[in-house]
Amino acid sequence: MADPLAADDVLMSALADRDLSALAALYDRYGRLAYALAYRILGEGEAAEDVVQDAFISAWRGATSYRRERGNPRGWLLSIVHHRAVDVLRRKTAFRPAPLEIAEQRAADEDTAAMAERNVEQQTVRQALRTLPDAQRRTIELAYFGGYTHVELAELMGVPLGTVKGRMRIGLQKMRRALEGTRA
Amino acid sequence: MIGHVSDDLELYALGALRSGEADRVAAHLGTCAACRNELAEIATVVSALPDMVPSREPPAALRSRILAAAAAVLPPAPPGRPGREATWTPRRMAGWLGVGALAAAVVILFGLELDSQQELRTAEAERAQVALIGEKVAYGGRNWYMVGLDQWKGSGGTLFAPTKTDVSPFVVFHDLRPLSAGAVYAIWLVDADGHWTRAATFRPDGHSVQSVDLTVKVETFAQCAVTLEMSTEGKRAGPVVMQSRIAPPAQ
Repeated sequence: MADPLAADDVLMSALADRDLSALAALYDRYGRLAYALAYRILGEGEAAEDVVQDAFISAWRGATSYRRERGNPRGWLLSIVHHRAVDVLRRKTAFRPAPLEIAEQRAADEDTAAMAERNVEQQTVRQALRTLPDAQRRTIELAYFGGYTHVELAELMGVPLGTVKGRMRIGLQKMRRALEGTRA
Repeated sequence: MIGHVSDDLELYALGALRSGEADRVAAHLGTCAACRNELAEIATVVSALPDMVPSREPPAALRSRILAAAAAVLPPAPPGRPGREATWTPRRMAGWLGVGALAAAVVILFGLELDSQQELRTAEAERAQVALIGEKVAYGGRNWYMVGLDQWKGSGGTLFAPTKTDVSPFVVFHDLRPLSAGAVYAIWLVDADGHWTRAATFRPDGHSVQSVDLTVKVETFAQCAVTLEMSTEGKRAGPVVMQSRIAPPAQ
């Protein structure tokens, strides 16, 4: 089977050469995931579309500055999508301390999860996240999907900044070990 | 060099730093290979998080919008440049030729071999037209894609409402069907009460991509549509060829 990461590298090379069909192929490969991520963060289709369009145009313009040693193309593209989506979310909703349950509901909305395609990768990541203690899992989810800064999280969860930072660090370390274990 | 930023790398990778703090970390990463390597390890885990998001299909028109916008902001290079991957040939592009307005035109212009002077002149005319459209698209603004209906499936048009106030709104059509003598296409804007306002009337010019300016601003309308008419003025009488809702501006 072809290595998808190697194929991604070929795409990035073509993208840097301003080959529009490479952009089309990159969209075909990751457009759905990018849209799902933006939708999860923003909770509405039109804003998610704008973010995805913005991210792919940014990739098109910035392909020559992409450096493989800083991450694979998939991670690079999704980090652009995430960054833009969180930017939009923060501009749209000036932070107000909200009850923790509401914040968690928004960040970890499971209503459509039942319809989700439960592929192996999805199950692996969910499983890795499930292995974390609740406090670590919630901190990571609220930061990544909820767009909360560490200062907001400390206020929201009623814990010191250092605790937020520690939960993220230990949680991500455990996830990494869990993912390595399942992929080995 | 400022001190290492190891303590903040998880926050940075998760996007949980405030903007000034993130800028400080980014500045350090630009100069410190050790912190960059550490971040790359953390980013591997963070980049797996989107995999737990329920799958969601984006609207079909998004793909063509992205390709059209890409072609407008930074024109693609012609094929055959040294160093290009052989995988990405014009033949491979055929799969999406039908869906992108500007993108399709660009591919046609750069991708096909031109056998005659006539074809060359036609291509040059299209190239000039695409360049003109690209300039207008580059102004930025909002856009909506109208999907061809019934026998117009495969055709489509993107309505652009430029941010620049002295530029008229316009529609970029692709793959328009030719019309019989006397028939015209009419572009309409429809308000929330269902009142139709004719915004332009035109005939296809035979190019794969055609831009048509509107005489009416789109802001107060709820939908746009194209109909087939037998008159260049008057009320709507013919069938709807394509249409789209127009979302109100963000509050």
